[in-house]
Amino acid sequence: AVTTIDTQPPPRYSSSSSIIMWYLLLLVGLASAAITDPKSRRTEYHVKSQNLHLDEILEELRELEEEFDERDLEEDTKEVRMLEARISNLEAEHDPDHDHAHCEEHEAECGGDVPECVSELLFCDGVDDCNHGEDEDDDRCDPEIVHVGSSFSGIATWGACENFHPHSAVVTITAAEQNEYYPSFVRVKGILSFEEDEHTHKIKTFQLRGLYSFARHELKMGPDHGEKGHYGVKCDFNLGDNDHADCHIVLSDSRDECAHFRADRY
Amino acid sequence: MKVLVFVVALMAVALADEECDTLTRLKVKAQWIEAYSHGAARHAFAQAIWRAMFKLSPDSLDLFKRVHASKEADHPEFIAHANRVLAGLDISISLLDQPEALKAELEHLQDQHKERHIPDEYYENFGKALLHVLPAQLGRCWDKEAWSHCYDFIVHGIRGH
Repeated sequence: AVTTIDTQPPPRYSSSSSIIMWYLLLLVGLASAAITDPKSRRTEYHVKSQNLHLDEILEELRELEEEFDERDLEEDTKEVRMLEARISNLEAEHDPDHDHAHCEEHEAECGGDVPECVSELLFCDGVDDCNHGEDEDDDRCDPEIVHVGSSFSGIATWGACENFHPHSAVVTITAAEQNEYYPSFVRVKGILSFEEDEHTHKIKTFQLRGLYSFARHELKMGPDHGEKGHYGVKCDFNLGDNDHADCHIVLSDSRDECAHFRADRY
Repeated sequence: MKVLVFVVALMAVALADEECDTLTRLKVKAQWIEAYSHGAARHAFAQAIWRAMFKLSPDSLDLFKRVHASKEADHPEFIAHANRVLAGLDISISLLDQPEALKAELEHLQDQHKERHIPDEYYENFGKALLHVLPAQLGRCWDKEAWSHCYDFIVHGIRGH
């Protein structure tokens, strides 16, 4: 490249050094422009083509991902948990070695790998009673289910007590108190309401109070003090999470079932 | 003054007696049979009551040193003691409808408790603990007022004042 400069004819006005210098500078400038141009273009070309390759690969990858998404292989952990809960409910009901569930009355299953039953009076009281402390497990002792304002509703199907078509029934928690010195149960107040007529939307409402058992994940409520209503509610949160329950509207005295509804939290 | 105190005390007894009346006693008796249960459930019932009691009155643990009391209430000797206490309560409640025999039983319990100088607060807190565990054991069918009145009546007999 340097030879380009040398091939230029020598300056005619050697007397004026500043002009020569400017002339030289101009030449160098032109020369350098002439030299770098093709090289940088080549580099530019390489970079561009590499980028295009990358774009192509990304496009292919995107297409692959799209194809993968269409297959919907993603495992819904919530669904799996609910399935497991349903299976374990059936296992408890149909234990071949026992006529009934594995645990005695007033007892609940610890839920560890080794089957173990402990009195429901001793769950979530700060003392480990199950061999591996499952009775004090944070998940089990989470009072989230009965947070004030929680509302569980579903379509109630009446088998007795009232001559209603299937209509909405709602259980709403209006107060919850977990006692410091006896925390195994939460004392709750709530409202049960159900539609009498789907056209007029006339609603019957009952004030209830009762207990939520951490051991059984079970909410049992009956008429509040001085209430005339004779209905109670029993909800089992045995469907794998805190948002779904199997609820029954019962006669509060005999606990005979009047209606049943699969409740979802809203 | 002494006469006045005596009259007030007499009225209190009469009142407690009246509130824990015949029908209330029968109710408490029936609910107790259900709650007192049997087997392992009975141990757990006793344990739950004592754990709540020791949370309410941690100082009362000192009274039960001899029977290895702890916050967990799970030492075998303490479980034995807890069951014995419930057995005493069981006798008292079972005799609620036989005033003469009940009087004798309460006097017997009074003798056993006399020298221990148990503060009134402990009796109250034991009642509180009992009245919290009972509904957990009984579910819907229990009458808090009935229990409260008859527990006061029994404790009154054990304290002797």
